[in-house]
Amino acid sequence: MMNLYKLHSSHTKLSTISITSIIAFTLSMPLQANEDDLFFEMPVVLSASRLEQAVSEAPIAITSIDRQIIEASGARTIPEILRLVPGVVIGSNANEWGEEAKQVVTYHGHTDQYSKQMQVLIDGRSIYEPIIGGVNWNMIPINIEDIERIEVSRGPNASTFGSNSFLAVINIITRHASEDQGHYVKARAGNHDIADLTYRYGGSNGDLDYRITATTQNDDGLDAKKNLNTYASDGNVVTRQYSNEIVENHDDIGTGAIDYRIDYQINNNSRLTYQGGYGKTDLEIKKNYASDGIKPQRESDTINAHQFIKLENTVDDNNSFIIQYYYNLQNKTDQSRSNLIEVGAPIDDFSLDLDFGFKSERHNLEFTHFNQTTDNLRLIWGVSAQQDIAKSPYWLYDQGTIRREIYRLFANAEWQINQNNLLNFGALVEENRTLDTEVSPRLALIHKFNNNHSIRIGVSQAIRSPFIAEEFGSTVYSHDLTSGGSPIDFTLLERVLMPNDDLEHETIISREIGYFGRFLEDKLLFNARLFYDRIDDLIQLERINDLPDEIDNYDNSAHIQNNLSSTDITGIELEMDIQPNPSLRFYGNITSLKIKSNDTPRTLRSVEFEQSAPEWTGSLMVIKQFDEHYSGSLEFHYIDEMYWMDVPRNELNEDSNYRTLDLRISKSSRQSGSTSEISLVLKNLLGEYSSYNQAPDDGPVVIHNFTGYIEYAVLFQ
Amino acid sequence: MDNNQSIGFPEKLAVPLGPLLLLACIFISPAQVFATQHTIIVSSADSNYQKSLVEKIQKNLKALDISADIYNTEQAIDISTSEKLIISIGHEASILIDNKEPSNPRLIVFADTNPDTDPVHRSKPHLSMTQPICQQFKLIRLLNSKWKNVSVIMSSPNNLLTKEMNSCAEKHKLTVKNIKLNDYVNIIDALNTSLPQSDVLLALPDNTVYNAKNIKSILLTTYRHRIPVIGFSESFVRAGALAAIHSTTEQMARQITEIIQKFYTDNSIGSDSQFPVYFDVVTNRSVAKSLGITIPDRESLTNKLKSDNHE
Repeated sequence: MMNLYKLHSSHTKLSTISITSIIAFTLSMPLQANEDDLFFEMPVVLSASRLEQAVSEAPIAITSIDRQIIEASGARTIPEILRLVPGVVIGSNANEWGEEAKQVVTYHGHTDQYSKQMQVLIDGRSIYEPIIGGVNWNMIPINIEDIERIEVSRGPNASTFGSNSFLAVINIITRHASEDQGHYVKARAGNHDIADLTYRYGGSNGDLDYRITATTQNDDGLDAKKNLNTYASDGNVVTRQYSNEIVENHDDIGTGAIDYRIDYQINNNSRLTYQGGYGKTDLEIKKNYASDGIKPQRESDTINAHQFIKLENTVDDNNSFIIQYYYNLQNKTDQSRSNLIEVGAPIDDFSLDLDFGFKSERHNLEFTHFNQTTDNLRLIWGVSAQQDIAKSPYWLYDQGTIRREIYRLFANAEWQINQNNLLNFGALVEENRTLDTEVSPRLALIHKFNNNHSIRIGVSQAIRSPFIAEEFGSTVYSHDLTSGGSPIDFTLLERVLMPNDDLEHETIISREIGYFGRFLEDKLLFNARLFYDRIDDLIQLERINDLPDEIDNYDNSAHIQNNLSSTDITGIELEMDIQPNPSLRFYGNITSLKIKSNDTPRTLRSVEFEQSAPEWTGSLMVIKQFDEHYSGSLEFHYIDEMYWMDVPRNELNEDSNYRTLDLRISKSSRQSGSTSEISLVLKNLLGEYSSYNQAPDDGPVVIHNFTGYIEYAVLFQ
Repeated sequence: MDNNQSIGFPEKLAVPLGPLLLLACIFISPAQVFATQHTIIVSSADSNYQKSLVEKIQKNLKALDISADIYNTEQAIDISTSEKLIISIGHEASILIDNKEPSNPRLIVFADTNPDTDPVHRSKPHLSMTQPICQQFKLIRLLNSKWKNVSVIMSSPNNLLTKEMNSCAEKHKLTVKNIKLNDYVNIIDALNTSLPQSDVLLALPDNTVYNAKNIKSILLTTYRHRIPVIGFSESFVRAGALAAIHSTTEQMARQITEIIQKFYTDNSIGSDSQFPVYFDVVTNRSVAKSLGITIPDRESLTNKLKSDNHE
C-alpha cells in the first residue's frame, strides 16, 4: 500500500501556493502569532459619521481640498489654500480704520473686512466668532500640517450646520492622531522676516493614540507703497502711480500655538476623541497712512483656546451616533489711550482710555444619530444647544455680559428612489432668545444618467442670525470733563452705535443646477454649478441723525444695524480635476457671477454690493512628481475687478484685477528611519498687486509683492 | 485501494477484519461504519477563532457519527493510535504535533502568519484559511475594471511572493507596486508614498503590517487618499475595507469535515495544498458609496469567483 503520508507530500505547484504561505517561506522576522492575529475583531474605523458623502451624491456642490493640494500650495495660512475654491476670493485689508490688518475670505462677495456670511468649522466645531462675526484667520490655533482636508460647501447649508451657513461652509478636517506617529519638525525662513517653526509628536499606547503640535509663525506682514498720484485742479487723478519705496506697514504678526488630539478606541464600536488648543497672537496695529486720534498705534494680543470632546458609537450596521461638546474662548486685549483731544478753554484737554478688547466664549453640546433606515433610506438627525457669552467694553458699552442661547433640531434624509434617482431633503429648526423660531429647509434631486454623469437640482433656504455686536451693539465714547483739573459735572457722550430692537436675520434662498461627470476612465472629474441666489434683509450700518431726546448724545446722531438691502446673485462655477497619470495633476476652476441689487431706490450701498465680487475668477494648480525625489507645483489665480464693501469708490481704487503665480519645488529624501523634504516656495512671480485695492486718500497702498521662503521638514521615529 | 485502506486502518489488521467489515456493511448503516472512525483535532489553547472552528467541526462530525478527540495545546495529546487522522489547526498546534513526529496521516489547517515554521507546514498536506493571491486579483478586476495599479505592502522583501503576484497581476492586466515596510519610517509613511500611484491597496494577511495597532491608521490614511482597500476578513471590511473574500468558521468547518469524510471514504484528503472552497465576498457599500465607486453586489461577485474556480 502506498504510504498515505508520502501520497500527500508531493511538490506543491507554485500556482496553488497560498499568498500567506509564500510570505511564510521567505520572511525572516520571527513572530509568534495565531489565526486570531488575522481574524481579530477590528474596530469600526470608517463609520457612517466619518465617511464623506460622495461628491456626485451630495445635495450641494462641495469642493474638497485634499492633502496633496494643501502641501503643493506651500501655503502658510489657510486663506491662501482657500483661493483654490471656486468663487472664493481672499484679501488682506490695510488697516484703514485703525484696526488690525487681517486676511478676509469671501465667497460671492457681500463682504467688508468682517466676512460674516460663511460658517467655518474645525472638525465640526464652529469657530464663527460670536461678537463680531466671521473668522479672524490670524488667530486660529490650528496647524496646517495637521489638516487632512478642507471641504467647502458652496451654497447655503443651514439644514445641516445651522444659521450662518449662509453663502458657504468651510469645514477643516484634521487627521486622526494615529496618522501622525513619530517626530515631525518643519522650519521655514524667508523674506518679509518669515520665521516659522513647527514640532509635532505623535505616539500611541494600546488603544490610545495621541498627537501634540507646537508652532510659532512670524512675519512682518505686507509691504506698502507711497501714493505718487498727480491730480488735476478739480481733484481728479491725472496719473496713478506708486513710489518704489517701501514704507512701513504696521501689521507685524507673531503667533504661537499648541494643540493636541487624543483618540481612544474604547472598544470595537466606540471611540472617544479629545482635542484642545491654546494660541496667542501678537499684532502690531496702526492706521497705515495717517495718525488717528481715537485708534492710535498700539499692540494687541489675542488668546484663543478650545476644548473639544466627542464620543462616537456604532450601535450596529445601521445605527451610529455622536455626542460632542466643545468650548471656545477668545480673549482679545487691545487697550490704549487716545491722542490728546482739544476741546478749548475753559474745558481741559483730555485723552480717552480705550479698550477695544473683548472676551467671547461658546459652549456647544450636540447629539447626532445616523440611521440606515432601509437599504434605500438614510437618515441623519440631531439636536444641539449652544450658549454664547460675550463681554466687550467697546461693542457692548452698557450691555454688560451678554448670554445668548441657541437651540437646534435638524434632520436630513437621503432616499434612493431607484438606481438613477436620489432625493435629499431635510430641515433645521432653530430658536434663540431674541429671534423667532426659524426653519431652514433643503431639497435636492440627483439624477444619475449612468455611473459617470449626474445632474443635481436643488433649492435651499438659510438664515444668518445677527452676531452679538449687530444685535446688541452699543458703542459709546464718554468722558467726564474737567476744568482746571476740577470736575464740572458734565459727561461728554459720543454714542457711535446703538442696538436695534427690530433687527431681523438675513435670509437666502438658493436655487441651483449642478452637473458632475467623470471622463477618460476617471482621469478627468468635472463639475459645474449654475446658481441663482436671492438674499434679503442684508444687515448694514445705518446712520440715524435725529436721535430721540431721551438718548443722550454729543451730536444727536449714531449708527444702528438695520436690514436694508436685497440682492440677487447669478452665475456659474466650473471645477476640474485632471490626473492623466499618477505623477501629474491639474486642478482648476473658473467662476463667473453677477450681483444685482434689488434696492429701490438705488443707493451707494446698491453699487457696493454689486461690485463686491469679481465677475470672473479662475485658478489653476499643476502638480508634478518628476521622479522619486523631485516634485513641483505651479499655482495661478486670476481675480477680476472688485471692491470690498468698505473700500471707497474713487479713481485710486480702479483697475483692481490681478494675477498671481506661485511656484514650489521640493526634494525629498529617505534615510534609515527618517524621511525629509526641502522646498523652495516663490510667491507672486507676476509682480505686485493689492488684494484689497484700498488706497485711501493720499495714503500708501498695501501690496503683495515677491515672497520667497525655504521649508525643511523631517519625520523620524 | 480497498475499503480497509480507505478508512485508514493499519495494514496488518486489514485482511482479518475485511470479511467482518464486509458483513457489517451489509447489516448496518454507513453512519454506523463511521462510528468506528476516529480523528484527533488539536488547536491552540488561547485562540477564540480556533476554538469556534473546532466546535463547529465537532458538531458536524457528531452529526456524521464520526468521533473525534479534541485537544488544545495545553493538554496531553494521545497520538499512540497511529491510524487516526490528525487535524492540527493553527501554527502552535501544528508545531506541537510536528515535535511528536507522528506517523499518522495529517492535515494542517493554518493561516500562515508565522514565517519561521510555515515552510514546514507547507511541506505537509494543508488547508489554507485564506484565498490564493490570484483569486484576490480576480476580485479586484471584478470590482472595477478601470483599476490598473495595485499597491501591496509587505513587511520585508519576498521574491517568491513578488514573482507570484506579478504573474497573477499580469494575467488580470494589473500592475503591482510592491512596498517594503522596512524601507519607510512607519506604515503611514509607506502608504503616503505608495498610494498616490495606486488605484487600490491589496492587504495581504501579514500581521506585521496589518495588526490591531496599525489597522486604524491604515484605513484612515487610505481613505484620505481615497484609495479602496481589499481586506482579508469580514471584520476588516466592517472596519472600512471595501471588500474581501471571506470564509466563515462554519464554511471552514464544513470543508474540513468534508476532507475528513473523504479520508474515511477513499483514504485521501485530496490535494496537498487546498484553499477555502466555501467563501463569500463581503463588501462595504457605505465605503464604496463614499468613494464614489459602483461595485457589483456581493452575491454576483461570489458566484463569479466560484464559477471561475470551476472553469
